Amino acid sequence: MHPLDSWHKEYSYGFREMIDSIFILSGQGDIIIDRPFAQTSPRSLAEECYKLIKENKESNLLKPVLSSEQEPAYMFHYEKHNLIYIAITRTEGPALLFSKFLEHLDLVLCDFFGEEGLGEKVRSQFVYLYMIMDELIDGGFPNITEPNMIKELLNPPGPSGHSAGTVISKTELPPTLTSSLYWRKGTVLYVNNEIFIDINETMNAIFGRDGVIITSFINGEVLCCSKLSGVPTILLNYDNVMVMEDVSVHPCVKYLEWVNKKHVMFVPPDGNFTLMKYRAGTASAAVPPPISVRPSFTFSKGSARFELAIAARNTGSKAVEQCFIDFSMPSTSRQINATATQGAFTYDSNKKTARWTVGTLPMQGEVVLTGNIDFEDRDAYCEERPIATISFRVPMYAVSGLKIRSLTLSGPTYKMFKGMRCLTIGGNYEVRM
Amino acid sequence: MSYFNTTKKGEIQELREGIGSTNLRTKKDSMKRVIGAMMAGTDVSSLLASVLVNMQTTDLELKKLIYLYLVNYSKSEPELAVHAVNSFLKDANDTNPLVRALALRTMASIRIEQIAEYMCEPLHRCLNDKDPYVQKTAVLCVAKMYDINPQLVEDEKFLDTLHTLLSNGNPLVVTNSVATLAEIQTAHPETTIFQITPDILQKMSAALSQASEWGQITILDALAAWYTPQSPKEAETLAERVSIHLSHNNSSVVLSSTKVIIKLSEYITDLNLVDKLMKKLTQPLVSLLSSFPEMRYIALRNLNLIVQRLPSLLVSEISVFFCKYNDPIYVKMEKLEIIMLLVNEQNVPQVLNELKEYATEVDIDFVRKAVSAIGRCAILLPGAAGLCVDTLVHLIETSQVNFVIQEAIIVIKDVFRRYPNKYESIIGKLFSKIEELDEPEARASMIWILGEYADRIEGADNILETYFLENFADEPHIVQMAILTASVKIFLAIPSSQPLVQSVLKIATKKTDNPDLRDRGFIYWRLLSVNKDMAKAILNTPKPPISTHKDLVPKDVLAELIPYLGTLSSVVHKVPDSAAPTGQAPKQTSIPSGDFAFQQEELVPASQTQSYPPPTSHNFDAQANDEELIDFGAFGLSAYNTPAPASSGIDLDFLTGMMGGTPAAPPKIDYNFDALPQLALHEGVCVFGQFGQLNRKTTFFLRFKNNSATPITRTDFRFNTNSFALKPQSADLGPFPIQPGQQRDVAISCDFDQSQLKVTGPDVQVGIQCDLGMIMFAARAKILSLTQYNLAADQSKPKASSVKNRNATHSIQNASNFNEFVQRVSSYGFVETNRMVKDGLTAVQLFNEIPALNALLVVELILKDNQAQCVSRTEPEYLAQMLNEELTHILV
Repeated sequence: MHPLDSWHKEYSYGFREMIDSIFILSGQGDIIIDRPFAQTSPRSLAEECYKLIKENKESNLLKPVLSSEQEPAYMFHYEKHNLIYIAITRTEGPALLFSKFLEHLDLVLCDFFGEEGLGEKVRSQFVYLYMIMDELIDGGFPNITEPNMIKELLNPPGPSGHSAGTVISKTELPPTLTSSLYWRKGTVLYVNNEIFIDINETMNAIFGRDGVIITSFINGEVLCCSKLSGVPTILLNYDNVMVMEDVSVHPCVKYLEWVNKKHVMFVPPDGNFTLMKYRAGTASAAVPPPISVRPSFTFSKGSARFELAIAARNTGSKAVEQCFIDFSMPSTSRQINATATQGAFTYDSNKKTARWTVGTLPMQGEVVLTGNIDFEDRDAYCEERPIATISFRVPMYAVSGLKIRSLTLSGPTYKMFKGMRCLTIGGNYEVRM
Repeated sequence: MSYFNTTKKGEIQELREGIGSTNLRTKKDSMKRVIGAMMAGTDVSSLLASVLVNMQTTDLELKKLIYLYLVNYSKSEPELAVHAVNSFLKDANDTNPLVRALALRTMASIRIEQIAEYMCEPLHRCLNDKDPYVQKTAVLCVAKMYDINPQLVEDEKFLDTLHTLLSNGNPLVVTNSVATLAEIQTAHPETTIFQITPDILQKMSAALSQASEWGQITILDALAAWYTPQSPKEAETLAERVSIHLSHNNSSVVLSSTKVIIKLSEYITDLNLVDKLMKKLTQPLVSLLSSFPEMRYIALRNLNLIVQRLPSLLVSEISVFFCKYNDPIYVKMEKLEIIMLLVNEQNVPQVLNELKEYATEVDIDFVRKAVSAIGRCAILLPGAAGLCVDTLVHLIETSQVNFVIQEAIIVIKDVFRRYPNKYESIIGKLFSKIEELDEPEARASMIWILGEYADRIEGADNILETYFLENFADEPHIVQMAILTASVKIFLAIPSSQPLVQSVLKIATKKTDNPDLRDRGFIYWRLLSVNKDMAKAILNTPKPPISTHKDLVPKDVLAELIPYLGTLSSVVHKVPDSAAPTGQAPKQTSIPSGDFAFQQEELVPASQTQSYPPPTSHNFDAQANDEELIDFGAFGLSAYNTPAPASSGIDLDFLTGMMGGTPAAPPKIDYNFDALPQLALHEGVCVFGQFGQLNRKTTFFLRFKNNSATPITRTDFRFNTNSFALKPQSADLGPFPIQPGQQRDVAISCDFDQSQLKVTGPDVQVGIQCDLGMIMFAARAKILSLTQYNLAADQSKPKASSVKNRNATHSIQNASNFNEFVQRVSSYGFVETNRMVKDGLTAVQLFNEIPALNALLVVELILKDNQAQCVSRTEPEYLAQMLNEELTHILV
């Protein structure tokens, strides 16, 4: 009997939102910390999980939820910054929460230690890690999860890696803990008061063999960096606000104001945060793609010809920069030669991938790549076709048409410096050849 | 500096000295090394005494390290931890809230009874601490304590304190209290610790908007698990409130909100509102797909369940489920499943293009699944079957990949079964690939086609002999069975092939050890030798329609899974089994995964498994030695039903002829259903209906025609709140299933229910929830179908004269048969309350009432100068216009 069979019998109705244990492993599989909550989990579980992760590193086959062979337990894993986060649970519980929590854990650690070299920092300062975990999750339930608040509870180490001092002198807790603006630090003071807003949009599209869009959508994010003193209230107005579909907002945004008046009113947290996320240009209101494509692909015996022409379109006269195209070539390709009207083409015969580096696209006209594939079997027709993924950036342009109309401050009396930017990048911009 | 390298034995002594040092920095560093060593698995328990000495330190960091050490070792050696109790108690009284909380948390994580007893006093104090940080920590300790000693928690009334804390001002304290109560309730299902009363609901929903994202999940999940709305209104209010959280950044919040809304929608009677709520779910659910791949998989597994439950929700968004080439394979598989749940006549061309694209990919499982999905489209959607078959044939003709061809042939067999005699023109193209088939299932499928269409395939006997008979003994079981059946069918179609069937029967009965094959051979043999016509009748009976379950998860499991959305169960698609003390047998809840379930389920059609008729109902004439045959049949049936091998679809021919087995027809109703107007068309289901009277009772006559490919296994029939307070007596259109092509005529008698009353207009909105989703339409109610028939004339008179409202009038063209008009109105139960004949003017006043609506109806028919007029006056007023319109129809 698989260990999980009895699990399903044992846990009956309802569920417990509980994580049994969290392990953090280094990329090499050493256990950095092992934090049990409800029930101790043997380290062998983490080792089992690591083994599976390692075995499937290349294949992309490993599901995010694994069931253990040794005992009735599920293992969630998440890998980032050369760290492996593992959550173990034996009880029925919200799977999405567990997965999301691991992501959040990484986020908090990045905020606390700084993203660079996180793996190494976490290792050398594992005592902090324990303290963070203590605040973050108690008894298996997520508790104080706001990065700002954790930083206030535990002074992060200085750049030298040594603690700047301990919190022991405090007899009172930071007031934010009980404040209704729990995301904002209590006392913030800046000489220059600044706020920066970035609209970043990722264009995703799949083009068919005829160059026509099959499906496309835009993932948008409004990022904010706030360096404002006191407790400011910001009011943000957009042009074209209707393009935003399915908006999700940071808890600091007054939701009903947004729903009823379509403006964003918020008291920002200090520092960087994601103000809003949205989708745009989905089925109901498709946006013309910023790059048009014209693929062609013909087989003949033992070889194939391919051609890909791309051109910048609908970018509001902004230049398309840093454009390159990655090809995933048929697995039976032997040799590929190609020439381009602009840029260079390279082929990696081991990985069967190729890259066409174009650079900045001309404002007018198209750039074309033509090439020839020779297959390993000189007599066979090949069924597989190449797939091209186009990466690009269009600075100062939001493809959905979203614009910021105004950004105003109320509350404190100082003058606020405002910075606003837009950026469109190619996400999964895929062409089936 | 690394703390992980202290594994050498000699260093323990060094560490002990370090901890004993007077320098705080040295102490801390040594302590960190101790923890490091502990993590690395070294036994440092011998340092306990030295560590305990330092417990009184005022340095918080050092204190935390010491507590960490204690927690770790108290698990393996709890009695050692008891030594530290005094320090714990002292710290739990510290002025620093962080220290108080730390001490309490640490004590609670040492799970021994002695500690629990010591804890009571500080726990009481901390639960009522002025600092919420301490409170929220203390709250969680209650659950831990309950685990160790439930009686103690009861005695000390900690649970009452938790209930009080639900109205605490700090959201974290509230959510932790909810979490703790939920936790204890779950672990002890026999208790009634956590009951969501209206009061508690109020507190929870107040905390919902203030809580952190994780707290929101806790509250939402608790609501989904334990809250039952007391009234539709309550459900509406809460659903509105929860729907705000659908736009949260955290996808787990979105899913938990969805779960609560779906649950609440079952309690809401206003169908318009339900519809509106469901529409709100669409976009947030789609946005779950933008999360990172790990979460995307979990989200997709959940979407799969939601789509099965509410297909209409995401059908317009099908393109978001199209696979990207670099999606992980497990994501692709999930997406494909969902695409197949959403496919319909409109989007099928788009879907087929995608599937064709997927068939050229590299991963074998995914490609096979894509090919089989094309066949599934054909089976699901009669309108698109031609297109799907073309696509399959195109794949067979052009694909260089062997398994694509084999998979295509396997699904084409199913298509043939679904649409007999429709696509046989492609058979020639299939046979051109006959030599490439090496998988048993593909071979068996090909053989089945050969037998089934033997009369139309030239030289079917030769093909069977050449390609399949040679290695009969080495063939897998399913191929052998297929050959046996096909040879008999071929013989019946081509009598000249007798030597072939004889040789096959000989091998099957004499040279085989397989009892299934041998018995089948004997049956055929005997059948052929006794009566060839009967053999033909049995083998060529129409096969039961191939059922195309759109549902991968059985209905009952699905219903149980919905409350578990977002949880582990929803990811593995299993219901956590009930450990309830009732001692129920474990449910069979595992779901075939990875492959479309229909492939397995169609093989044993419902009519066989569910209603196996007694032997007497066999529909062929029993002859001399049929007794034996019948026994054989029964035996064979049970034998084939048990394991339901993938090939038994082919074996069906053998059995179907012997089975009667359509569900009993409902009683005949004396009503002309053919005249009903069509009211709705939804996914191939056609609904006709109107209100009328049956036996003088308001009745909704309904014809439910299933033109879809899915058998209807359940329905729920409801009226929205309406102007007439009508409520259907029964919500069931049974008996089920209503097979594809069948129709069901029912007369649903209606009751009056005051809670259903809401003045909306003459239409009653009707909703039928069935396997294919919610079918909604409006039916015109008839006032004349609500009237009374036993009114006393003397009581009616004053009532009639009390109606003073303005009226609705219409003139009647042909006034010659005025008396007949009076007759007609009277036939609806109206009593004559007044009649006046004067100066060539005749006026008749008729009266009726509808007690449930407190409605009084007065109709006055006036004849003057050969001009007739009909006047309606009603109380309440809004009925007058409707009544008049209805009268217009009967007075012509």
